[in-house]
Amino acid sequence: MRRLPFEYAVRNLGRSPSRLLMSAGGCGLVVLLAMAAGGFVSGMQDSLKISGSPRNVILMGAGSEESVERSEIPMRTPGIAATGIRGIAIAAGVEAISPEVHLAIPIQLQTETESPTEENEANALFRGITPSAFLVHQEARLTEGRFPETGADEVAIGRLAARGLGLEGEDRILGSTLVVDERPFTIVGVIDADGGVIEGEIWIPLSDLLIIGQRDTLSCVVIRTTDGDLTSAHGFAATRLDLELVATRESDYYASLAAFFKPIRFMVMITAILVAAGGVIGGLNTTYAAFASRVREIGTLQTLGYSRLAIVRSLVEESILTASIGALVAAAIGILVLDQVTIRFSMGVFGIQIGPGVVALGLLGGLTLGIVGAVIPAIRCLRLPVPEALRSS
Amino acid sequence: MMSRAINVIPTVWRQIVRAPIRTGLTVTGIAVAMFLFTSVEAMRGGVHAATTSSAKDATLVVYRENRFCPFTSRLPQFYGDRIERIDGVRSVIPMQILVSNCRASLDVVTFRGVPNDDLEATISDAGRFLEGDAAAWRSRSDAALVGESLALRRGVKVGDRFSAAGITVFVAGILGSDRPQDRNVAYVHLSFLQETVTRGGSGGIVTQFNVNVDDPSQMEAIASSIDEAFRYDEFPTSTWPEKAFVGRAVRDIVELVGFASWVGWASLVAVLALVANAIVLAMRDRIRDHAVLQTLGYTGGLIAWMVLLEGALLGLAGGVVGAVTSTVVVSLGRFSMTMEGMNVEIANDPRLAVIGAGIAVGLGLLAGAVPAIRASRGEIVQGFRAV
Amino acid sequence: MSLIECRDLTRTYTRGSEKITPLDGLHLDIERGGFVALMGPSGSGKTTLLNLLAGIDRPTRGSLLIDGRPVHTLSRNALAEWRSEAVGYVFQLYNLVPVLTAYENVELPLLLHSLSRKERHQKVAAALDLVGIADRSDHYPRQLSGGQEQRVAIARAIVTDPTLILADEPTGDLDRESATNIMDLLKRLNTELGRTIVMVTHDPKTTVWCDTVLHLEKGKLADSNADDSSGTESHNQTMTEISS
Repeated sequence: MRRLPFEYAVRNLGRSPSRLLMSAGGCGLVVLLAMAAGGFVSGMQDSLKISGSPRNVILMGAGSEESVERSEIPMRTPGIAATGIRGIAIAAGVEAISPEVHLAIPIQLQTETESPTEENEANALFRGITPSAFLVHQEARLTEGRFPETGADEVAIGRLAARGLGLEGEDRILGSTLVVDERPFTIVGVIDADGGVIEGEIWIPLSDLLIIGQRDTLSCVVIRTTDGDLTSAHGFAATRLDLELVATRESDYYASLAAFFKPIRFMVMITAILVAAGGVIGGLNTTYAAFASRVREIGTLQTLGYSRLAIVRSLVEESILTASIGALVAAAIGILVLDQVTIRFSMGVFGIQIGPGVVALGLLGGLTLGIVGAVIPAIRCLRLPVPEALRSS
Repeated sequence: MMSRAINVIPTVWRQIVRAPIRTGLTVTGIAVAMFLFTSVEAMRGGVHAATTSSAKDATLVVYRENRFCPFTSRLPQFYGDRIERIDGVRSVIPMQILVSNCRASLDVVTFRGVPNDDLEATISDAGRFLEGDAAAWRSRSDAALVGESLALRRGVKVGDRFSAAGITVFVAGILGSDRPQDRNVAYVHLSFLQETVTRGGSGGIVTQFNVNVDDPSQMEAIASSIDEAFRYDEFPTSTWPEKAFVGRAVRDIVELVGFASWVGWASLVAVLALVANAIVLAMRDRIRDHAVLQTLGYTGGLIAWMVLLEGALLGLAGGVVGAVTSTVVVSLGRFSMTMEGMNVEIANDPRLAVIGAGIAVGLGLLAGAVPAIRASRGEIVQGFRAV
Repeated sequence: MSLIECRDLTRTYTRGSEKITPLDGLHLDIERGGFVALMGPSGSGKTTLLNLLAGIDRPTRGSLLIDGRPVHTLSRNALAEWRSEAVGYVFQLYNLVPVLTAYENVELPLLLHSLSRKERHQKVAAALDLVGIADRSDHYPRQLSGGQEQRVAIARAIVTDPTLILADEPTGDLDRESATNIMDLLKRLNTELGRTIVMVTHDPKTTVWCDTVLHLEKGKLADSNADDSSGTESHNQTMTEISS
């Protein structure tokens, strides 16, 4: 079979630079939007998915299973739990029990250049902790600075939370001031947690947060078990009716949070699919019209002895080339720009995640756009009998 | 001249309907873009309606200072009596809010506990019982008056029991209201909510007070007086006009919708660039047809009119399909985004459909303009040669 | 008075830095009711002259009077107006609008006139009937043969009752039988309806239907009376097929 040289397709691209720009640009925009949506969904999903350990159990108030922030349990719970639950892991000679308060409070960032105003106010998720929190949440590591001291108006901040506030780089983060209830708190540490939700939080000594929140109850107690067996914890919650507790596996809790956001992800995905569908239809439109104006050329090629398949192949090559240019540029923009974007979304911060999967999705989408956009119109063009094609204008 | 412009309309129509694939692709492309655009605008409309005050609004919300989440705002119920004594305050309704989750999502259930006697004042003139009545609500301690949108979303009707956020209530009535917030919440007895929610028996704590003022123009002054009164108390307050309060509570949603509106515009641009390109290309195919028409005595202006009309009709068709689909989906879905117990109902404004269709027509015209100008200016003889 | 009077008719095109003058100071009169063939090698200016006569191109110099109207002075829109009333044009490649039926194609020029739908219908039907294609009025161009397409194109050219019919190689793309039919048809329009026809042709055989043959060469009129008599002679054998 005679094949049209690849250069034929390449040269055809050069015939109309404006058309090339428009097609490649449109395709690129579609790919970029698809990647943004994919990055949003995967960023949100992953941050929740990797959060929480299956070995950890959260004790929280019955009826608050959906949201630990709503939960209130007595201050004495950790002590009772320590004796009532078997199989608690021991690290550094201490039982891994973390009493915690989870509170969403608005904060304002104060820097040398920025004074705290309502404009730069943001909701932040505070977790009041004791040093034992690091024994329980083993993915959390203090990578810079130190642990905040109780009563010294100090906090440690998650990497993503800092980025969400526009703070990047050790110099800028450490020493910056957050204003909570008109009271300045100094950032003395940075926490990394492999991209989990903890990175979007601000950690503060438990007793400081109790004062800020004016409360005398805990939100929850998180316990690390030796083997992930929750039987004892469930039994404890069921027997100590006076405490009104439920025991939930920590990883299950975050999985249910991920499920809670499902409608949002669904909306984002629907939007992306519609955008992509619009792109395919728009692309079809363009190539259909572009090929229709070349019916005569296609007829001529057939007369010269090229098979229909060879011509379709060349037209598709041309279209894939155009789409690839757009998709590659979009992928580059996505990796360079989008990947850095953090989104503060209701009590948490997560980063748009342009991972290999999302990039592949984007490129694949672009490729599909190129193929689908070309094959159907090309076949339609070729259905015309040669003499008629030659005569048509 | 007019009669010519009218005479050629059937010809334009035939150009459209006798190229079904091209027309179908173009119209579908425009429709998808318009669907996205109108939907996103509907979200924006909802945010606007929920957060922008009008001169008629006379409700202030008293919240715990520096708190937005209903889990963290706690005010003693007796503050209500003190607020009521402040000049210009007409009535005060203490309210306990319970949401299944403070985080933003769709389909969050919000309970508002109000005192037994304050139900009518709470739902005000804007609300009405679609089913059930106030007596039925009062007769049971676990009764709930469910907003119509929430009821539709959850598929509950009078007589049902329904559980959310760790409590179970009995549906005593369905509430219709002009206020989007009220359509998306369930009103229950304050005492019921306090007993069920606040552990350790510390009743007498509420989330917020809704304050009605006599003179809307005095809102700001009264808000300041309220906050001044509690400034040195154990629980300082922060008082906002209701809509402004909602705006602050749902700012993540505002941001998200702002982001979505960029996506909406971008997709509009992307799809329409491709569609416009297609219209331009299709018209290029017709340069010869236009030259023929000119030879027959059609003036450049008349041909330009035909081209523009075609672009506008394609735009109109796509715009109407997209905008109407979006309007139908939005009104049937009754979507509501909730955060911190505040609702943003995705607004279903028929005007949006009209605007959307109008934009599509405009874009169709724009896409037709290039070939129209070319057709009206070009030399006829060139037209035959061009192809 | 002649129907067409060309005086010093010149058309110059500028292509890049090059100047081309396909028509150079042409003097020509064409009588009312004539059937004129324009012949000449490519680039001799035949098509340019036809386009000038049709009012779809304008002379660079000189004057062109058609039916007493100074066509060369008319504005763009006035020219369009004039074309819609006075000229019917038949193309070599028919140039029917592909998405319109035969009927609708013929109707196109009438849309410019203030006519009721019924009047339009009568005129279109009469024109289709005259060219013998009334039974194909619902067909699209792609469903017609070349000869049929050209008949529709001729119907479109005569439907407004123009004084002047211009044809650019109307049989150039047709087989011999179809060509004969088309030429017979044009001849009937000429003799029975008294239309003046100016036709560009490459094919000497088609000139037997004409009463005047003009030879153009390098934008000027070459010896024109040579075929004058033969044209009249052939008048009697119009209905015979062209023999090769």
